[in-house]
Amino acid sequence: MPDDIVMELRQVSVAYHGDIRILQELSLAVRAGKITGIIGPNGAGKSTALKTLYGLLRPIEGDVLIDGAVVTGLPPWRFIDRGIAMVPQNRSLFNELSVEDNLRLACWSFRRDRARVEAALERAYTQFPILKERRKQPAGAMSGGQQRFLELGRALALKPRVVLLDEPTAMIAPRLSTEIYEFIHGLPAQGITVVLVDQNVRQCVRIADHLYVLELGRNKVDGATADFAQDEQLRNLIAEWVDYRIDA
Amino acid sequence: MATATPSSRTADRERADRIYFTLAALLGGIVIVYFACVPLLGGNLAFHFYLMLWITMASGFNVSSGFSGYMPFGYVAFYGVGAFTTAILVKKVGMPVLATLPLAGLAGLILALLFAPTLRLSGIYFAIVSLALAAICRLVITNMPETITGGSFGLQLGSHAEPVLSFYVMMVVMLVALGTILWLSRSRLGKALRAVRDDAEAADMMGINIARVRLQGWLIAAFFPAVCGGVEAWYTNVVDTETAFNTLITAKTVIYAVAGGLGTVTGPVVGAIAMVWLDELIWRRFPLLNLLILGLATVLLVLFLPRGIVGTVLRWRPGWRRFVP
Repeated sequence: MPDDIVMELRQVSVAYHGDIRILQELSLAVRAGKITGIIGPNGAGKSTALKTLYGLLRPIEGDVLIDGAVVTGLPPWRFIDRGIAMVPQNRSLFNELSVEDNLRLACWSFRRDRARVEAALERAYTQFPILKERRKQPAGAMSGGQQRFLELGRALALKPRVVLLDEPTAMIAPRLSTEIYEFIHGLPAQGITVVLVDQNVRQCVRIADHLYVLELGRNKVDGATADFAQDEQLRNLIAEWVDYRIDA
Repeated sequence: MATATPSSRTADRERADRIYFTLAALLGGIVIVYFACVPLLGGNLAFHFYLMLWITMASGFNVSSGFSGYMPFGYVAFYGVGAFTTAILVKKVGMPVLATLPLAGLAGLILALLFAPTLRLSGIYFAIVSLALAAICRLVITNMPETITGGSFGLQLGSHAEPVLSFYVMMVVMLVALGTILWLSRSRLGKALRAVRDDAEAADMMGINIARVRLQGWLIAAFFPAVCGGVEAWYTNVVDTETAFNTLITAKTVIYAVAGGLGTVTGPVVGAIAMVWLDELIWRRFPLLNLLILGLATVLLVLFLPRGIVGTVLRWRPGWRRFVP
């Protein structure tokens, strides 16, 4: 295994309700310090792949690896200890609780280490100053974009080395979406590896270093984004599968 | 805009906690003085005893339903087991009543641990299973040898009746319950319980051990009704399965908690005070139509104030949330 691979799905199959296979022998590798994009049509299994990477779903076949070690079956909270954080597609905030309480709950695994919790809060507030302004407000009282910032802030407060993002700009205003993509684009410079699942293929292709295209839960094609741009045949295939043509 | 450093944030929180708990202590002091004066001034002992009992029951139920999202329709099981634990230990083992009350609470905790696998269920499935388990508890105790549980006649505690002392003990139990729930509402555990209630998958992703947090909430919810059962057994001096496992106990607990508003500390307290007072009023004026009118009042309350009294007030005045626990 190359040294730069931090997470990996190896020949993974995942099924819902026992026999409905969503992923079929899917393999993907997450490279350190890069943005790995996962794209594909609806129902391709993109979100399922991300949930499996984070331990929310247990594969019926294959393995999940972190730094080359098999972690299949570990609960999500054990992934936090290994420096992995996730921002799911659907809103995952606790609306009744304040912004600060939402951030504090993200620090649950080290909740007794007061200094570390305070440092995590400070990190989130530095990344997203709006959260500091609204820290006493209920999370549910914020706008959709601000809630997304809180979710990102909550994940990044943990100082992760890998962050898994599922549709980070779903139902977000276009101007704010651009801001969020720019922020994600800057994460590798902070030493944070990104796995990005997105329906917004244009933006995903723009910022990703490596792309995986899924179809019906299987690997269809993958490679460095630059290679996609140079290969006419690949560009045609992408255009056919995800209705987006990568610029040459 | 003022910026908040970690130390100023901590100071902010500590100051808010100080104000919060000072207000709570002040209110607690008023409650103590009020209830302490009832026996001394010849007030209605029974009314106030049951008022405190229902405040405790509704508050305990609130931990399960308001904080954790479980609706245990078999909540009476803890009460009944607590009542029988006290009665059996006093009558058959000869223990002093006061010493049996912590053991009644312990019996509630053991029962809660036995029921813990049902926490895997949710919604109506959990509610139905808990109702069935309460029925099983009742049947088990009913079918135990008469020499232990007293059979259909129940157990009489005989010379142990001490209405005034048991009244004050009930007051202490109520204050401990309210103090615990007040602490819970501000604690990490309380926030984790709410997080798990609202979105278990998201809480799981935060690293919250869902099973452990749910169990902790469940144990707190089970302890207080069990102690209430023990104290009530002492107060009335008699325990039988018909009354100790009466589903009306669960029904009233649910109604009082919902009437006040689940999820807040004050909701079940306000709900219990309002509904017990209403119940008493209807009982005095229309004794034959008591349950009918009370049921009608409950229907109207749920129809027009679905969030309960406190929940509705907080909806109208969201700013009051800072002061209303």
